[in-house]
Amino acid sequence: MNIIVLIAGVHDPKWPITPDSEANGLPAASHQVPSPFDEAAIEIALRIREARPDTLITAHVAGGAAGEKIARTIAALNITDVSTVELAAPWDQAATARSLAALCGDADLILIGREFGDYDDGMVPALLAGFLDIPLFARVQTIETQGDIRFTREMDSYVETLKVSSRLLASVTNDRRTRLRKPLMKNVMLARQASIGETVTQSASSSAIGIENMAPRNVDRHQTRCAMISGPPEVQARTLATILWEAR
Amino acid sequence: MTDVIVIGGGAAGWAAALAAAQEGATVVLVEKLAESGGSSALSGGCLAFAGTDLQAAADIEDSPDALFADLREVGQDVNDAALVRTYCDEQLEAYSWLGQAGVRFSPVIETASGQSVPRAHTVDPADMVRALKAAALATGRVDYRPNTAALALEESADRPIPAVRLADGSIAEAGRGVVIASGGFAKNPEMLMQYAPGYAEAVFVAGAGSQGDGLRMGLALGADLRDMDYVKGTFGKHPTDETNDHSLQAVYKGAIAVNQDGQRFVDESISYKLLGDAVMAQPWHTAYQIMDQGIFDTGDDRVRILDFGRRLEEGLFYVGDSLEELARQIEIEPAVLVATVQRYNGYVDAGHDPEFGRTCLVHRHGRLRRIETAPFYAYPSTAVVFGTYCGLRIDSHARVLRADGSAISGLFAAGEVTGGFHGAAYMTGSALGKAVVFGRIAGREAAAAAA
Repeated sequence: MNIIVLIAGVHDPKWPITPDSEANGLPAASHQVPSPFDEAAIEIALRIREARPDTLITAHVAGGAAGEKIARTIAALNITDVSTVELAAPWDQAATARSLAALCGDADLILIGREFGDYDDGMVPALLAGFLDIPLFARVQTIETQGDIRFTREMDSYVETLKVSSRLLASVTNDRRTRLRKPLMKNVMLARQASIGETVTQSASSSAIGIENMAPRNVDRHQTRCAMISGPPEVQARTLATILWEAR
Repeated sequence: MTDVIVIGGGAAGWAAALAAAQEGATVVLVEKLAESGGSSALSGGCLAFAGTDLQAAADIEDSPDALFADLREVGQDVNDAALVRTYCDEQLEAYSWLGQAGVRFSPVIETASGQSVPRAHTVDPADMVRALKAAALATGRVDYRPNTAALALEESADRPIPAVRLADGSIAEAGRGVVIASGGFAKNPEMLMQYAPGYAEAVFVAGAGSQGDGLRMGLALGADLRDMDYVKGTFGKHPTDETNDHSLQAVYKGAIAVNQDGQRFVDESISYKLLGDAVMAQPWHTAYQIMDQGIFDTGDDRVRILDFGRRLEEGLFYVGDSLEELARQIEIEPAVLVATVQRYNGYVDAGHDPEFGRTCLVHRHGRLRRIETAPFYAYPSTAVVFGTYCGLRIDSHARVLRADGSAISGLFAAGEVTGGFHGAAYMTGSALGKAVVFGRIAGREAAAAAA
């Protein structure tokens, strides 16, 4: 099985944020760490590899050169194929998803944190699945690897399990049952010398729109009539989808 | 003019301020950071006291003389016998004094590094510093100045006591004495490279203010230094975990330490400072504390360095249903680890460890345990430098001494900035104990010095 793990990173909360005017108000990238969602995605990939030793894991870390520290953290977990990727417009979810899609090739399983540097929007995984035209199983919490590989997500008393049987994109949330393991010191030391590749995607470079050139979109709002939606959840979902589709 | 100036607001500084104020002196305490507490507040919170009511309640027989013997033995007689004697003679009073200042001790007394009987008295270290600070300020005689760095001490012919030059350029003068209590130099890479190059790959945990300021100031006045060759790290720190600053001492409950090659390398019962030296000499500067369920169950969640359960919850232990499985997780050849444990169990049965001479759990205390009941646990461990345990030479009155043994007029020191008390190694609780005991002495002596 070929797995690709996409890592966004977040600012390390132990460091104060010092906005840099030259970086459009974004915090300096020097104190980036994997997000809890990134960590859970890595741990799930590692568990699959433990259960199926022929699994190949490739990790891509957003942020270009600024992602190197995270990349070495991942390399210390014996993931040897790690590279950083420059995102031209990390604040643009669609552009980010398009850039990431270019990295996914024909991987059997793509794991991504449920938020990907998009400030709680959680849009990148869904957009990425759309660009790749593959199913998305969102908010994975746990994994079973005995026999089939099964992802599970829970909400209140509901539990949903998916057997991984075809190409899939899974967005992962943090859960104490998939907390990322600590690397061995030996591998931390080896990772300091590891070769970290750097990828610049074509779509990333072609979608480089500076935030300074952005302006609010000036279009008429679409109007639709107010309606109460009723029925079982599936019917409500279908009705809502129809309303949104017609109003697009 | 104030009577006493104290430089640094850790345990030693606040103890000095409180003691001086209790003697009727007016005190200015300058702390260069916004918050006081220093490395003391980050410490494991153990104080080595002997002959306390808490020990008596637990049927532990101990005495100042037994403490003296242990401290000298652990320090390999490199330490200053007079300082050790002073500590042992003063520590029981200091223990009661802390209680009067509002410091609360846990009723659990544990045996730890270098202790032949249980004598690690545990406090919340940050709470202890806060209690000392509150008691000092409550006297109404202490002027606390945070965000005030002392840069240098200045002597002059017309002044018997060094003046303190502050970062804002002003000069503060004391009528009776200056107490340096500014901590060690664990956060000063240049000094570490100068005095402890062997620990370059260790983990460093210390207060941000531990920059060696006091050492530098004392040296400029001609102070002598002690124990500079004995900077050591404490064994038992997880190398990559950033949540827990404290080490874990499973070896003192019966675990063995094996290196990445699956081999033991040391008598695990010795001082964790010497274990620190030993682990730094191993491949990758790392070892694993290996134990079974029986040893794991002897952990104590009331003592940080023995709280195995919390570390397990945090995912820091590797756990295997067999030694082979455990070995695979930590990338040691399974057959090698199994052979190492079997060999060790044989030594336990025979009562003799011909490889490293281990005879007990910790410093002549406790019977060895076999490692045999699944599941098995491994805790990755390297050395952590919490403090530098060396520095200005002082006498039993906490006066700073020159190389010729003469005292620098009006200058006292206490806590981590001083050397001579620990010697070649370290007993659990002796650093925080030293801070309180000698901080109290320094404050008292400075207050009593002739104006």
